[in-house]
Amino acid sequence: MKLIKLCLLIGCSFYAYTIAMQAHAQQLVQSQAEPTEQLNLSLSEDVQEAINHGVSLTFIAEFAQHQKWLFLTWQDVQKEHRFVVTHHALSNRYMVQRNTQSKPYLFRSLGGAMDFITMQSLSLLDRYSDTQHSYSLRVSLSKYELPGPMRLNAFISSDWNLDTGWISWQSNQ
Amino acid sequence: MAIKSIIKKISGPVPVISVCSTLLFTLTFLIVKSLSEDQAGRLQFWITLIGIVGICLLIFFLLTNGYSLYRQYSRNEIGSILTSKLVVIFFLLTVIPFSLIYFFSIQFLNKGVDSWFDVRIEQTVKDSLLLSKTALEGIKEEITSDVEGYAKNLRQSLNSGSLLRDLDDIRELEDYVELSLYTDDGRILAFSSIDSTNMLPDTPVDEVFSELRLNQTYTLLEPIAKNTQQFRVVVPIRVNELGRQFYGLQAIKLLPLRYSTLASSVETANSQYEQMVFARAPLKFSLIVTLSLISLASLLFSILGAVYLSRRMVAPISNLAAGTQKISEGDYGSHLPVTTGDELGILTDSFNHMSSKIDEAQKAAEISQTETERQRGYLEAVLTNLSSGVFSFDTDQCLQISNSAASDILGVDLKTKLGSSLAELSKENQQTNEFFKLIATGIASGQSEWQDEITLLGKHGRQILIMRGTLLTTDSLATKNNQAGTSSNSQTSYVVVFDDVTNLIQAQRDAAWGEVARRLAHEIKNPLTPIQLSAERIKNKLSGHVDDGLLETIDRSTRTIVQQVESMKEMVNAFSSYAQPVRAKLVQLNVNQLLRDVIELHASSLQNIDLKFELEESLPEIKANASALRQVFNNLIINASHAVENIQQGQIIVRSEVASNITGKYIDIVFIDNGIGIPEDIRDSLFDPYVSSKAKGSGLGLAIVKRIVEEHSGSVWTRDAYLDSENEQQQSSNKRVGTEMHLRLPINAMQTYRGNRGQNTLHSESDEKIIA
Repeated sequence: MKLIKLCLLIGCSFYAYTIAMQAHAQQLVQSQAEPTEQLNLSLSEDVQEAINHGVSLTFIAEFAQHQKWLFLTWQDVQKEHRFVVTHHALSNRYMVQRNTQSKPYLFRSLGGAMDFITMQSLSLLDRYSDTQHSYSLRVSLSKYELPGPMRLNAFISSDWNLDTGWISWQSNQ
Repeated sequence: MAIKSIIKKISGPVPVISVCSTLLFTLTFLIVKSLSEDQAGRLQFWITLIGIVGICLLIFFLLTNGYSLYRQYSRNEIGSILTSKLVVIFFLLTVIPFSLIYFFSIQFLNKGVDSWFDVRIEQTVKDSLLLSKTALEGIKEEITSDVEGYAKNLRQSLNSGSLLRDLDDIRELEDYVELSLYTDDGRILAFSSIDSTNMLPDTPVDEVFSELRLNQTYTLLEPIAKNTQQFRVVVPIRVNELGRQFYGLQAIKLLPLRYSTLASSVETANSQYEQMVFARAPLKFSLIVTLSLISLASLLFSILGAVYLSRRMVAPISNLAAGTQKISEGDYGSHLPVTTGDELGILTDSFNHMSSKIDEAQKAAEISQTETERQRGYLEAVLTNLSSGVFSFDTDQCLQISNSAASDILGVDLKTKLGSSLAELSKENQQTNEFFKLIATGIASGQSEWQDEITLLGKHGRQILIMRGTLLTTDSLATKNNQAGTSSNSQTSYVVVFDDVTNLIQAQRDAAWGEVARRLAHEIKNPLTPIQLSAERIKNKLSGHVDDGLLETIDRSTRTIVQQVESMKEMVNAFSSYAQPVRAKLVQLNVNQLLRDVIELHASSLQNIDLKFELEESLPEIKANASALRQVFNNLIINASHAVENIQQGQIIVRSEVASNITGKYIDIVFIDNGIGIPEDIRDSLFDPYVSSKAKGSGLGLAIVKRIVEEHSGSVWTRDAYLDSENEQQQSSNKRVGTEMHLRLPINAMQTYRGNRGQNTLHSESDEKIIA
């Protein structure tokens, strides 16, 4: 009996969480019209300084499809693109490498590099979305791939909490 | 209750040790990963999370254990105080060195991390980078100069058909990877590539064209792969200075492998060093947090270990304490679990052995006590059923044992006097004063056996007691104990046995009197008839032969002789009736009715006397000889009437009632008068023949009464009576007035006369009136 109660409690909690997430995502879609602006991440001074000091940052763009089962709704990640941003000291350029195998892209400024990541992330929509489903897109900094000594600080500090959250919309195609 | 049970189970040593071990392992792994450069961030996150959860669990375990210990302490459970003390001691022993180590570790960590960064190394790395940049700058300028020269040459041949061939020639000559020509709007005009499969050139980005518009050459060293770098040089070719129309010549040349490898190495080293410098503060923070987590986990582990260890150490002691408490409460034979093989285990085992021995000894003592009680009960039964009085005195001459016969004989309740000394017993009762003094004298004589006789004037009247005293010693027991190696003082006690022989002596006296009476009757009665006949014959023979004077004398003398002979016959007949036993059959008799009948016969002589009946209507019938009892009642009522005949307001009370004592049920018949009382000189021999206070009395009335009553297994005694307030004063002034005659007859005819005057001891109300 207690086990059943516990399962019900967990199920209700999960359901409430998914509803809250969905509501949050809907709110974002309704309040901001341009996906480019929503997906743009503004880097804090700490993060910029870290890049300038040779720390590589890995941004992950996730493309997810909404899934439903009974009363449960969740994001099923379909695709994932990784962007590694580093500073090249010899050329004094910011280098963005996409999915490790491609040729790096060089940018004079960090803003240009981040705009490039945003545009590349949005291209996932053009590539994978269809008219049948609702989709979500999310760009976030992978704290797990930071250098070891910096991870703990990144987990605690809000400066390192670079995450757009799930942004949902119905595809117009 | 279920949740408490679960919490208790998961707070046990096994779960806690498992959690602690896992926690310490994960935290150790965490610190290793924190220092490494491996890409194990996700694992590190989970390990950190596990560490925090583990610490929370440890805190939870500590709180539950602490609360449990507090509950035990507040309930004063055995072992809780010792456990608390041990926990506090272990805590202090852990915390103090732990704090010192933690403090010095933090200091050492700060200093150690700082020591990794040397200013000279930093400068060397920077200089290396600068040197690389300088070297690459030279190469860049050389390539730029070459491309600018080729751009001037190509300006002449832009519109010629040999443009593509020229590009190929230049590319091959200068070993460029690619050489391409663009218009000012970015369209490809021509290109030559070392890779013939390339369909399109590597087009420059927009910012390149922005620089070209400013007539500036764009040169950039671009990393394209690991240890592979290229120079991209784009040179503007002005064809119309005013119209700003230009072309862009882009040359891409790979940096030679040696330069490229070195440059990459310097770049990587610089990047890593910069990264380390930047991560110095986060590294310290990470290390301090990790160290703190490990320290906290270790500290919690130590405290929990202290709690469990203390409990484990105290458990045998607690068990021992509980066992000892059980034994003190009389629960012997409790067996404690032996959980360890160390000294505590040996102690517990010894305790179990001792407890078993005590249990066996206790059981043996109980058996012995039961046997003693049985023997004591047997002895008490024997003593109770003895007609002789028995006393036992200890070494201090205090009364230890007294049977009921002793109380009956002395007329004192001695059950309440147990423990009293002889001196106290002597002082308490004046009647028995001499008796206990005699016992004290006998004991003081030191003889092992002594015997004596005493006459008491007790509540039953005159009593003759014969006592025998015996000295008991425990020398034999002491000898045995001394042989067994134990020392014990020899103890002495005294046993006194006494009997009331008053009735025995009285019976002997009565028997003697009976014999005297029988002989008298036989010896005197026989010659009386011849004497009477002879006297009458003398009178007959001489009548007519003597003168009148002499005849009158003879006649008077003869009549006197005959009268005296008749008188002597009556006396002899009285003796005969005293000497003869009552041989009539016993019949059911209503005593009250018999009393009324007897009193009715004497109604005429009792006219001037205030006669009262206090007869108990529920008086049961008894088996008795009616004519004998009638004679008894006659004698007593005549005596009472004679006693009050010269008294104004003479008063007689006739009372009957049921009485009982330990030997059975009786009826008491009491004749009370307020007459002249019994003279002092005949009190002791009142029931003996020829004892009378009356001038004309034969002295056989009460003797016959006594004989008849005793033949009915009854008893008779007398005491003084006080019937009015004046008499109360006389009682207080110790002056006797009136007489009270008591008859006691058994209701059951089978009851036998015990020869014991203690049968009337139940009359406690009247006892106060008795003055012996």
